[in-house]
Amino acid sequence: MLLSGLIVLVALIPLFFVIGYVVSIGWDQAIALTWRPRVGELLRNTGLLVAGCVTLASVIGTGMAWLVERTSLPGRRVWNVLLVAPLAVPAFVNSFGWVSLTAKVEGYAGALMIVTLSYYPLVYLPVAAMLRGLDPALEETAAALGYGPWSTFVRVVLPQLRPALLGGSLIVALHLLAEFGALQMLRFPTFTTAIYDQYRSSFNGPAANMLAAVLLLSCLLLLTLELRLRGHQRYARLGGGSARDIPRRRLGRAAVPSLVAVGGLTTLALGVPIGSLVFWLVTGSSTGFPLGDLAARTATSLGLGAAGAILTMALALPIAWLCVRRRGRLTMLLERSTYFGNAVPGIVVALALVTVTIRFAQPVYQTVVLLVVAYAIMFLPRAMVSVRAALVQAPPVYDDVSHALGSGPLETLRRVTLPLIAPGLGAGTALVFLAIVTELTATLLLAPIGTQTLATQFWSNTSSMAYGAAAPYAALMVLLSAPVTVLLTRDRWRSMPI
Amino acid sequence: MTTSRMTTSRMTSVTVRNLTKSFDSTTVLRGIDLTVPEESVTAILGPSGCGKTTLLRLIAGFDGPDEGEIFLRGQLVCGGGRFVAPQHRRVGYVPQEGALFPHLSVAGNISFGLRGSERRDGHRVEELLELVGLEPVVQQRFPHQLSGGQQQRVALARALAPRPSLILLDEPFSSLDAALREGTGRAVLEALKATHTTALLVTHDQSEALSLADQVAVMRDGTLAQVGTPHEVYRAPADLGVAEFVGAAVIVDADVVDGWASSDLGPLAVMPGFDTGPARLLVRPEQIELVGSSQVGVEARVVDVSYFGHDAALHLEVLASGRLVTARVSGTSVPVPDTVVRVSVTGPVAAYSPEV
Amino acid sequence: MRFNARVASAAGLVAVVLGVAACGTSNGTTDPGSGSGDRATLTLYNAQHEDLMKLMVADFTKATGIKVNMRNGEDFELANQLVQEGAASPADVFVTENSPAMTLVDSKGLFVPVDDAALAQVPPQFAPSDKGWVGFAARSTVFIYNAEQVKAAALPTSIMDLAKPEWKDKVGISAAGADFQAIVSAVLALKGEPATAAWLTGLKDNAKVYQGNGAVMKAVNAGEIQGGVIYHYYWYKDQAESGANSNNVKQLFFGNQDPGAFLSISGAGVIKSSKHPAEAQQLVKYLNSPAGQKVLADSKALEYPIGNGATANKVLKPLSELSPPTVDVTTLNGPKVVELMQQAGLL
Repeated sequence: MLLSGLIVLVALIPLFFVIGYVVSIGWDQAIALTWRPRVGELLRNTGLLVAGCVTLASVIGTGMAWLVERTSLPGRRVWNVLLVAPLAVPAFVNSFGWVSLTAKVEGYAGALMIVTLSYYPLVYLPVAAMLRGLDPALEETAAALGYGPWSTFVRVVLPQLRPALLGGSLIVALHLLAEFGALQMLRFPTFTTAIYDQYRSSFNGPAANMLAAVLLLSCLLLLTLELRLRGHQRYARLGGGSARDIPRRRLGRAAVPSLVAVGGLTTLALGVPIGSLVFWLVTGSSTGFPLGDLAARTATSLGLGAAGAILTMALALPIAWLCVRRRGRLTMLLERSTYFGNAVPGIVVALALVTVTIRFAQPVYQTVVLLVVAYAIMFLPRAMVSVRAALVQAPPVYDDVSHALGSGPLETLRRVTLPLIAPGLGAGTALVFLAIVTELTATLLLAPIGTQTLATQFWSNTSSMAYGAAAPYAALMVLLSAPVTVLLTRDRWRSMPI
Repeated sequence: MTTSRMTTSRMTSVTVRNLTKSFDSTTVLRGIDLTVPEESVTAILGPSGCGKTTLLRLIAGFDGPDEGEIFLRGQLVCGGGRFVAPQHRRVGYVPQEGALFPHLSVAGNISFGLRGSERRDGHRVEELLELVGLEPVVQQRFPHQLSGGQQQRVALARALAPRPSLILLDEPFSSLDAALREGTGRAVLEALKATHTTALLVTHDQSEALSLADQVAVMRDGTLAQVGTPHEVYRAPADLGVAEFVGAAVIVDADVVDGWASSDLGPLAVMPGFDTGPARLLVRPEQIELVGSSQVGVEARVVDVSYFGHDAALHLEVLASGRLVTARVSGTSVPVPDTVVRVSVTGPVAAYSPEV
Repeated sequence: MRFNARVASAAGLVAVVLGVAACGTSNGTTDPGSGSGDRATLTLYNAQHEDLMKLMVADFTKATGIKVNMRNGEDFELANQLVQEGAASPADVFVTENSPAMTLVDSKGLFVPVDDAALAQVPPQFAPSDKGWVGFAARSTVFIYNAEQVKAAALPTSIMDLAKPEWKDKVGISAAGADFQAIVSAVLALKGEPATAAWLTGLKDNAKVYQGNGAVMKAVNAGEIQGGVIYHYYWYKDQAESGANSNNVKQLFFGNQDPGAFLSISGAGVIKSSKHPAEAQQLVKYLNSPAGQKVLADSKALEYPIGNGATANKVLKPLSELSPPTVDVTTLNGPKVVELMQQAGLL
């Protein structure tokens, strides 16, 4: 219990830092820094983008999920994988794909399109999973009562999809609030890009920290809203399959337009960025193929990813174990606290850690250790979801049975508990690994001298417009992400730990 | 607290003395005393939340009591500072819903408690499958491929594999359909008899307890209200609470004079032990019989009939008093609603003083 | 497909080892080659262009055997970081693209005076009076414009013109960059706060914000915007390569001592808390020594060398013809500029 408490306290350092900072500079200063037109502009931009993206992503995600799960769409299995695949392409690579080919993609419209294309799978996945598990009896009853297909969808299916839709939308919104690279390339200023600009101009000056405070507040509001609307279900966990298969709607003449829609979406979301990468790989004129650098950056990314993933999962284990095995008020509090980590974007974490370590923990400053700790703080909430889901696979009754059959605690751990939780833990580790390998923002701020990951090297190349040089790094990131993304499409992983 | 009326000349498998357990501020078990004779089946019968599962877990060793002692086969396993861990108690455990290890096959599950060569052999597994009435082909299947009843049988086989002398079953048949329950219950009993295993099962289903057990312990609010044979518990319950829990009951208030009471159901013979005085009398529905018009009885109007095929429940309104009673009669001759019939109570009834 | 945790952790372990090995080799380490191996290693906080500094540092290491690790960043990012780090900073030398960042660090007392020998190598206007740092390269502010879209008559005569209504949506700037902020600091020093604030407000209405001067030039070249404010060497560099991003672009040097002709100085200074002050001074001295200036002049950087006797690349407009305004480098106030830009809504 003590260990878990300590972990949670460390994880909340960024939150405490921002609150402490606002308190320390005083109310007047805080207001003066926040109540200015620029912040209004950023709020408007960010708000409009979030609203637009969440709406579009929900519509697209639900529509596609419906097509794949409930209709006779040809090639369903392939589409299922292709529709999820954009998750393997980080948003900033997606942006790069479009921006490097044409400058017309910019501003609000460009940003909206690219973030929607990048994030709709986060709604698609839970909605599709939920559709798979719905009880057909409800829809059949509605039909018997005279509801047409559209009314049935709106009045019977949609309400059941609510948890999946809300959860997916929240994740999209949080990702968006933390998004930096993609939006910076599109010259669309939001809080995160503004914080980064401030950082470049004034390091961790007051304006940067205040912007961080506003951003943090927005995320916390979103999180609280979601908690209210959904209650205790934090991940879209489904029951053990429906009683029987739901008959699929035959598309008939709608088949061709549907295929065009799905194909078009896939081309835009996957085809363009990957095609662009291939184009730049082939025709890159800035530099040759720096194999040595590529290998070094890949090794760094892999090393940091592995270290970060293992640390994060290790930290999540005691907390999740407490939450699953020893439910109580204190453990509920611990769990809720780690959940709030979702509300702290990477840039705020980085900024907070920079200031905190310079002032209180100099030896750790600018070290790989700090960077890995930052990753652990950022991804602890996701790890918690995976670890919880894994631990649920080995409830205490199995321990009891094993003991009664003569196996002591250690033997039970080896023969029963570990085999049952290993797949879930493995998947969780893979997901955190993926997140770290594609992480850009915090790494930019915290990486020690001379350490470059695939993401930061890619960024530095794109900033100096050396697109050809940037392409190999992007390609490697996509390749590393692909296997884990495939995992997500398998039936087994019904909980959404993203 | 009533002590067991069974003879203690045989070895006891389990002896529990003054067992007390609280969780936070709630006392779940209050000074339980219980003896389970070897090679018998004892059922602990009680409503949800009365503490019966806790008792089972304490005997298994998954938790420790606040006070009291537990003896297994005459050895102290818990109490007086001593606590034997569950893996050393050699007590079989079958949880509700079976809880088969999902990552192991049926064979893997059953042989889990076996050691060394016995585990590697396949013989014991096949032996046990036969014992619980399952085909050997089931061995290679995985738990999710089995039906509920099959899973329960495999769970029993798994618990029996290491040859424990005592086996604990937690609501073993509650997850099964009614049709399966009796068959599975019989199979379980046969397996236990064949292996000379003592069984202690907890259940909230009184028909299960009455039909399967040699000894029934009725638990209420953390104490044992009565321990006795199914017949004793049903026909001579310790108090009206037990009476109503164990079966349907018609309670008649009347005065007992010299072992007889007259009531609106006619004359009632009272069981020995209560001679005279005001009393509350327990009449079971099956004691209310239809009699011919020339015999001793009272008239009642048939309000409703629930026909079950093999028997029927008649909902009657006694004309003289307006009391509504339920009578259980054989299904061979069932009266029609709104007719008037004559009923009489057969057999002695249990009597309780009014304050109880 | 069951994810085998054991294989994953084994792979992870291998990756961690690789990663640590990779992290250990800093990308700024120069090959010692010849030279004694037991000299100190310097840590350079570098805000100048990475490729230029790599060349100069490599030449320095070849000549002295002293290795240099570079931490690359932006002018103010690194300056503020130095201020935050204070006495615990690992930096030995700080190099910037523009001088306001040097002034900031100097004002906090974090520099040790530069050796006179280094100061003697450049004309006196390229170092502050307190000798906290010294310049080694210069760049001129220019106005670039799309040759087809902007006719000679419409060209601005002063950089201050760009805030006027006729330039609405036609001009581009890299507002978050230290380069533009240095230019603003010159405007502030020359025209005063009210005029600068008004100018910035006008720019907020008129200008499109880009990330980096290269992006501004690319946009002008493509005709997205008609003009932009950057430094001189971007156009020359691109022309030297393929001209893909500059063939439609022409450069206007304002001259006339207009703020728009501001000559910004790249500076180098020795950090007070440096553990290797002697070697640090050597590095600073090298930068504006004839050898260093030659490397600079010969490189593709195309900035102006300012060392005594150094000659710039022939393609550049000669330094003597530029007629920049006279600015005391110590008056260029970085934090104030950031504040004004925040108020105008550009940051």
